[in-house]
Amino acid sequence: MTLQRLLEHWRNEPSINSNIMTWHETPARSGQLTQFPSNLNPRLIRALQAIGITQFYSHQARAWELSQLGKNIIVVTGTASGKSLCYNIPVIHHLINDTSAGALYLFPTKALGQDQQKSLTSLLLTINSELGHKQSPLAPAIYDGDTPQNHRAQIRAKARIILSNPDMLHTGILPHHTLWSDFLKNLKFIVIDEVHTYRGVFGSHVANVIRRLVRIAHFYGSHPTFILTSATIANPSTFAHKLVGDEVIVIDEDGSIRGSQNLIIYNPPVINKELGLRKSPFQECIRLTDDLLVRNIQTLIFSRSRPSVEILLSYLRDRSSTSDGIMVEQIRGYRSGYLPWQRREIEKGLKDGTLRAVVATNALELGIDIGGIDAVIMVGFPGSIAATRQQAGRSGRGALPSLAVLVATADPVDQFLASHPDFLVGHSVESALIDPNNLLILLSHLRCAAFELPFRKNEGFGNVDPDSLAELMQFLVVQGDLHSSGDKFFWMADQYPAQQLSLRSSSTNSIILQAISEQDETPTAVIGQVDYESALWMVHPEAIYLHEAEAFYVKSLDLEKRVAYLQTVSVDYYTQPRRETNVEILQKTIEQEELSLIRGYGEIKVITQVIGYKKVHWSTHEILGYGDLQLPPIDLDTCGYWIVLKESLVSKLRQAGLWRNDSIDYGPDWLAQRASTRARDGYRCQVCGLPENGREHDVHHKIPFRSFINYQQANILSNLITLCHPCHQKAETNVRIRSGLAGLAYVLGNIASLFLMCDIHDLSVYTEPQSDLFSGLPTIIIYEGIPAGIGFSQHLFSIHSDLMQYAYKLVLHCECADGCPSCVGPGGENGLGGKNETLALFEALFSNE
Amino acid sequence: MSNLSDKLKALGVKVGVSDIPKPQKLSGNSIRDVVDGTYRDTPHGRIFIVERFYDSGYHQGNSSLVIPTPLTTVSEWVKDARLAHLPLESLGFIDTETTGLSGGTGTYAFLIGAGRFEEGQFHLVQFFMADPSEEPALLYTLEEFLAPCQVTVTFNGKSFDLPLLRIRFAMNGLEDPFIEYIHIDLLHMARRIWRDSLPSKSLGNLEAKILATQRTEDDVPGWLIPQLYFNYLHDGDAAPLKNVFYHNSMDVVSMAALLNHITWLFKEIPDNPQILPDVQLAVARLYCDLGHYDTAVRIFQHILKTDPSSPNPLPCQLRLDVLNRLARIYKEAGDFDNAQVFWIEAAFLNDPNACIELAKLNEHFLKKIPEAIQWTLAADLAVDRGNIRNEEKMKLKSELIHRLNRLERKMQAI
Repeated sequence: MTLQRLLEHWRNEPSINSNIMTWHETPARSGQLTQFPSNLNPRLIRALQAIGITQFYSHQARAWELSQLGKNIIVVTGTASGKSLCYNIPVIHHLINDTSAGALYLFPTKALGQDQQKSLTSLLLTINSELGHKQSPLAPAIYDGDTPQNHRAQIRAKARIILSNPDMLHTGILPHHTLWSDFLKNLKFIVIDEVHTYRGVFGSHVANVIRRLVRIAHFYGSHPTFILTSATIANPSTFAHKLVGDEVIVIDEDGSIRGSQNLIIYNPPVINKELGLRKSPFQECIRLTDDLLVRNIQTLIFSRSRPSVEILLSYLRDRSSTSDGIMVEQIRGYRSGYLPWQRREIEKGLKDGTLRAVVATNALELGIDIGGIDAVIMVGFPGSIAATRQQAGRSGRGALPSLAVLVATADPVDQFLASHPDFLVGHSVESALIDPNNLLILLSHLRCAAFELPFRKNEGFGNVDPDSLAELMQFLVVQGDLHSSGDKFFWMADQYPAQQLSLRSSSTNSIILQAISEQDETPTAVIGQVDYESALWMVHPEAIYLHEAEAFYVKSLDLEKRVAYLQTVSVDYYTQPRRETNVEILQKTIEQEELSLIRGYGEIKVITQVIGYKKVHWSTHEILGYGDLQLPPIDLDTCGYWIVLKESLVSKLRQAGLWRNDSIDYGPDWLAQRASTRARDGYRCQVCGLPENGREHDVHHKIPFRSFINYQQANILSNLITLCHPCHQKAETNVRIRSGLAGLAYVLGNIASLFLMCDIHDLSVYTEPQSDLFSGLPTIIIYEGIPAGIGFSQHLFSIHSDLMQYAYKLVLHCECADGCPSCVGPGGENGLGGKNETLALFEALFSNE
Repeated sequence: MSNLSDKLKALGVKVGVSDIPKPQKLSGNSIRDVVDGTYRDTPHGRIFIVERFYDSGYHQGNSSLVIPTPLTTVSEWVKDARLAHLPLESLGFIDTETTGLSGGTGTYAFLIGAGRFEEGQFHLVQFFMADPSEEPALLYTLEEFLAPCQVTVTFNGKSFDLPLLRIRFAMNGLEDPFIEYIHIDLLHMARRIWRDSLPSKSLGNLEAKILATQRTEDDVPGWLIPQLYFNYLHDGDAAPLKNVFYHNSMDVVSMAALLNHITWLFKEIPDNPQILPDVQLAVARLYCDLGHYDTAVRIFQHILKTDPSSPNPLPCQLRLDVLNRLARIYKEAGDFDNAQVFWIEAAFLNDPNACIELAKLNEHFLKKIPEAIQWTLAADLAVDRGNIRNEEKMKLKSELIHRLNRLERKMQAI
């Protein structure tokens, strides 16, 4: 078997196997099959047999069982395990038996909906031809923003299986629910596919849209059952409960047949130990792909951004013109910028084998049927473990062996995973977190719900009890949106609330992202929107903004008009904002004091001003340059999680035994400069005034020596100051603490997003070596980017010790000398790059716990 | 623990008068003090009603309300034969004042004006929902009032008022009362009839220009109306609603007058010299669409005869339209002689289209190729002389070249 031979080759080839950090082999699984249940409608059985299905997997049978009992279920089995039958079978069975019943399917993308419509239709083919004229055919209909107006009335009247998405439900269906009365009256199932995508702010909005849907269904007298599917997450039961507002039973035992799976984590070798630079992951990917293609193994490559897809594609095609057999046309790219017909063509090419290699963004990650691929290579961690499993899960054809390779980039999380593969293969630590009762989000949906149906005074909403709801209603009355009369609250405003509410933002103050052409700056398309607060640091002027894996350059930001103008761009760097931040603690929800630290979480106010930005090379993470900006400060009221180092810990660190004394060479002019400084300062300590007494005072670099490119700049007199030994030690400690603190914050900030399944931008980290908030003690605050927070801070508080352990190990095992972007942060600036200091900090913290 | 308002304020939500307690319904004017109406009891509670009768002599501007003739043409236009035989009393005129224009389940009709004929009089009733909780009573009385009717007449009701009312009935768990009703939407009729004569076909403009009615300063612009209702709900002062009632009553009565005027037009065209050619033309076009070619021809002929001496003669484009349509009708009927007469007249007015039709007629029906060629060349000249857009010109020119080539080949063959 060619794949086996390739794997043998890699195992034995030193230039490859030395970079393999982990090789995890999951043995083949013969599957758990059962006969069709006896009470399954015979027409449905025939239809299944007609498409080649003669038995159920155990999880499909269980899904059937539980849905017959009217239970809500969430199916969390792996990719290609036949999850769609888990919902299609109960739905079709019911709809054949009850000719007025209906089902609503919600998908996160249009492509997925269209794909499911195709497979449903083929499943229904035999059934419909059998039913003939006795019943109108069951035809699943897509109802979304693209559905032509003149089809809509027909679909509303006739269709019993409606495929839609949360946005359409929110603006197009619920506010006009009387047009759907027959469908809603007979609604029996609500199917929600890939629910793990509904997390964070978006998920919190969707949870509220579902609350509104359930409320309206009850108005028409129906009580539908939920059938959900998800990629693996750590908290399926609680998450699903929060999402749909009712208890949901988890089905996670996968009974499908599976060939052996090989998961390899490949870390490009270090080529510059000093800076911790590694070989390019793209080059390594090409190398591995070569090995696969030369053996004619069909390969799917996932990359994180559109530009990288295009780069990989051109490298591959260059190589293929010299390698055997494979033509350039058999290697394609795939991303959301392509036209639908192009994407269909590529999906088909993968499925029927005519395409031998495809380089894709995560657009190809979710369920669209592409058959099974033999090998998947992921360049860079896809952003979440669930996504990694989804992408890796694309490889595998029935009982045949499969291969998935994760090629690590220099990003800290990638490097962390390279040395902690148990994250990927073991039990999931990722929790999908949502907070449907986030005040801003809840309020915006209460307005929509009131528009849809007046609220009664003793009514609740989701799990918001009637009393709390009444308080919120009163607020809306005073705002002028609602009118209270008798026992009801009526929507009384000349507006259409759903239209002004985007399910993806947390504020009503949005900045529109307007793409403009490069030549003459005419507007081309609106690519999206961001919150006002986020806009200042995400799309500041001259920023590089990544949208749907494509890079844009922000030409200008007009805050008054609430528009950012962007141009597509092809550069090798990304930007990071430089911010000045001040934090006020509004309320401490929980605070806990331990031996060496104080930790807690609560409500905070963050005042941020973006003062500039850095350009960072996106594969080596070197800093290429800086820019300055003039932007107004922003207030953000949110939740944060803080860690404060106690005085006892600081004193311990001050006793300078915990880090190695660096013997740094300060350059040839050092002695002279040192003497000049002491002379200039009158041979007195500039802090405490103590004159030299026999022993020479120390001379301290204000900005650490390491921060400079050359010794001349470091040793200029204005950067030097005379200090007596004790004061010098204090100053040094401060620098080291600053450095260690910064390193600690850097690594925690990166790892946290892994545990929270959130985007790295959803969290920010604030550090202050001498914080006023905590009597001058060193403080780190990790806070959420969403006003009022979504529960991240609370979760971090509860996983604190795990977080610290993992963070410590990451720094400890990093192969760099003194800090690098993969562990504690890029060296050199404001005393960052202090790997030793960070380790010392960790060790001090642990030694007392 | 910070309270809800503070929390919301802090989160950036614009807070209104959050610290001022909700005001009581003031002893500001109640609705009864503002308009002349009464409360009527229904099984769903009471509802406030204003009623007025307009006797048979009443005129809205220059038009009376009572329609003397059956609605034959209108019946054909709405494609429902029942309408031609129904008595006047079966018409139900409806206009709603709502809390917004966006539709959806959260938009309410708070004032519904309805009118019907009763023994020669026009009976107008305005149903007012002083509070949203009165909606069931509102819908009950509306349905009751419209029960004797079989036709609903609205202005833009097809896309606005009727769907909205259907939603209101559904939201209250009631059946749709309008299922069997025939519907006349006067806006659509107005757009056809005054297509070329009036830039705006709003009811207000039609009222002013066609019915020659002036509204008093009691009127209020439509866009202001929702806010007036919200203010009333908030502070209990009904005084500003007086204008809304006035606005609504004028709308309903004007609809009746407008329908009357339209039926009068159908009867009077083409003989009545007061009716301007552009309106006559519009009606003639309507007759064409309804298949009444004889009547259409009669009107077209009449226009051609009287137009030059009329105080408002037709612009050239419309005159050409008349000529072309006449010619086409005659051609379809096989009367090529008459068809030619009108196309030739149009050709002399530099209409390339007429020239082309003549070329076609000569080529395919009369089999006179030389004449066909002449007309093709004439068409080319007309394109140059005429006032035609460049892209249109290019298209015509290229078509003419094809035609000419084909004709010349045919000439060779002879």
